[in-house]
Amino acid sequence: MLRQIRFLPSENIHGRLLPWVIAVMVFLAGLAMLVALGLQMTARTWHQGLAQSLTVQVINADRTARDKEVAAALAELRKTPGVASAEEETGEEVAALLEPWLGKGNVGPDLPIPALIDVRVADGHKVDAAALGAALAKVAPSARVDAHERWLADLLVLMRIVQWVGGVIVALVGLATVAIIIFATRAGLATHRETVEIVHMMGAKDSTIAGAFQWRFLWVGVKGAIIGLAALGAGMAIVHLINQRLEGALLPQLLPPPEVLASLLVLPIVAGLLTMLTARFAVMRALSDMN
Amino acid sequence: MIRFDNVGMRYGSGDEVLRDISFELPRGSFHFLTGRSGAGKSSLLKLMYLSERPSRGLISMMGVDIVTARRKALPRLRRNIGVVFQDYRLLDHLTAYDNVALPLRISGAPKAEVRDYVEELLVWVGLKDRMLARPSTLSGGEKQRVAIARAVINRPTVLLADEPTGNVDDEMAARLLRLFIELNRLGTTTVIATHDMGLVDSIEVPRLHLDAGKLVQLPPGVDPPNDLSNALRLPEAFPQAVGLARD
Repeated sequence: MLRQIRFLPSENIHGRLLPWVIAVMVFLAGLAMLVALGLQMTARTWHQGLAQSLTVQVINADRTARDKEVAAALAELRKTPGVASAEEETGEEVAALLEPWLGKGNVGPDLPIPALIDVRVADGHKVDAAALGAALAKVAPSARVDAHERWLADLLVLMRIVQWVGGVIVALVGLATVAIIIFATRAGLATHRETVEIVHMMGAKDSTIAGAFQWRFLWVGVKGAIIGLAALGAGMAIVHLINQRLEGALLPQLLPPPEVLASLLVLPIVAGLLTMLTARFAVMRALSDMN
Repeated sequence: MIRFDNVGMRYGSGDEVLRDISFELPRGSFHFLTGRSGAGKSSLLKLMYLSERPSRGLISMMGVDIVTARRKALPRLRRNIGVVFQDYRLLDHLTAYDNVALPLRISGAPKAEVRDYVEELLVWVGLKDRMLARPSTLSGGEKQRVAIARAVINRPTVLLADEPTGNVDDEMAARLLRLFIELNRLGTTTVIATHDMGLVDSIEVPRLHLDAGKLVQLPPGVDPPNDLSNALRLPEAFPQAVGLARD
């Protein structure tokens, strides 16, 4: 499979557009992969972070009364079985949480915002949010327990659906790429039919002839994938820059984590192999029709 | 070496271009293949170089029944068949050197061997100074010599040539014929299709003569009959080309 005989012309045998078509396909597949993998990692992080935590809001508008309720709620929480820690978020921490929505510097001391208590559940324990809410209501009537699991479950379902859609898009792009490569290979074979026939008549094996095509197509696949990946990188960089400049952006962080970005590097290898193997298959299939 | 038994051949659903062809060419024999244009010479050669399959009958090449042979077995057979095409069929994007080297490379010959053999043969056919020329810059005669060099470079067991001296002068034609004779002496079974009766008369070898898709075998010096029904049909091919074949 590795032994090559050069008998094809040095100019391209696949048409000038094929690398660009592969570039577009890789761009689309990369985009879908980013979304799917990014959501998967986000969902995992959220699940790990939030499943073992609760937030208690004390919404009394009167600051003095609210402080008293917070102190009582903290005492109640700390003696609840399964609670590893319960800490009130500082004013700065609460302000930082609101800044993406209200803008930097817009969260002043006059803004009536509820006190937040971050509750961490000990590993291997579960806390009954309803029972905890009832217990807190006795000592801090304005306390509200926010068990993240409730809304997180719905969000995770939504994310899984988006992930599946991303996966389906990647698969469709892959299938479309295979079809395009088959057409390009057949066109190349038709253009060089005379050459292929002569070499075939001299006793070249089908695998030798297919080999000459497959290595050329491997390079086309890798080249196209690198172009597509570069375009995707440039697009992401632009979106990231715009996102950073938006004051008080409502948009979440759009730059995917490094491990997701690193996974995109597999695309040129996959595209190259897909192109090479598809071309080999198409040539072998066409040669089987010759005597 | 080559055996045809009641072979018929047609292209698609057309009439048979070859009918009831039966002959046997022993190893090391030398034959001319003659006949008018359209008589079926090229079709017969195509069957011999395994480009086409017969529509009926049996063909055995080098002991292999090619009608029933598995497709995978054919490349090895083809490497032992050298073919000179009437229209040369050189690869235009390759140099004369690379065209001639192609069969050796396909056979997996070492680089040094390829270089030595190709250079030696190109010098022999008078193309020493044209080794790196592309076919598009070669004259008809030069192309023909490259095509012949490509056909014989592998020292094939069977050599099939379709009008191999059609585009060269008499001196080069004689030189190329000597090359074919020399290869034949070394054991190559040779069939040369030609219209050139001067070439046919220049050496005493038997003929395969085709007329309207039917074949007769003629001993050296005998002209084809006008009426095929009265043709001299030999039970066996002449065992060897007179004075040319080995053994």
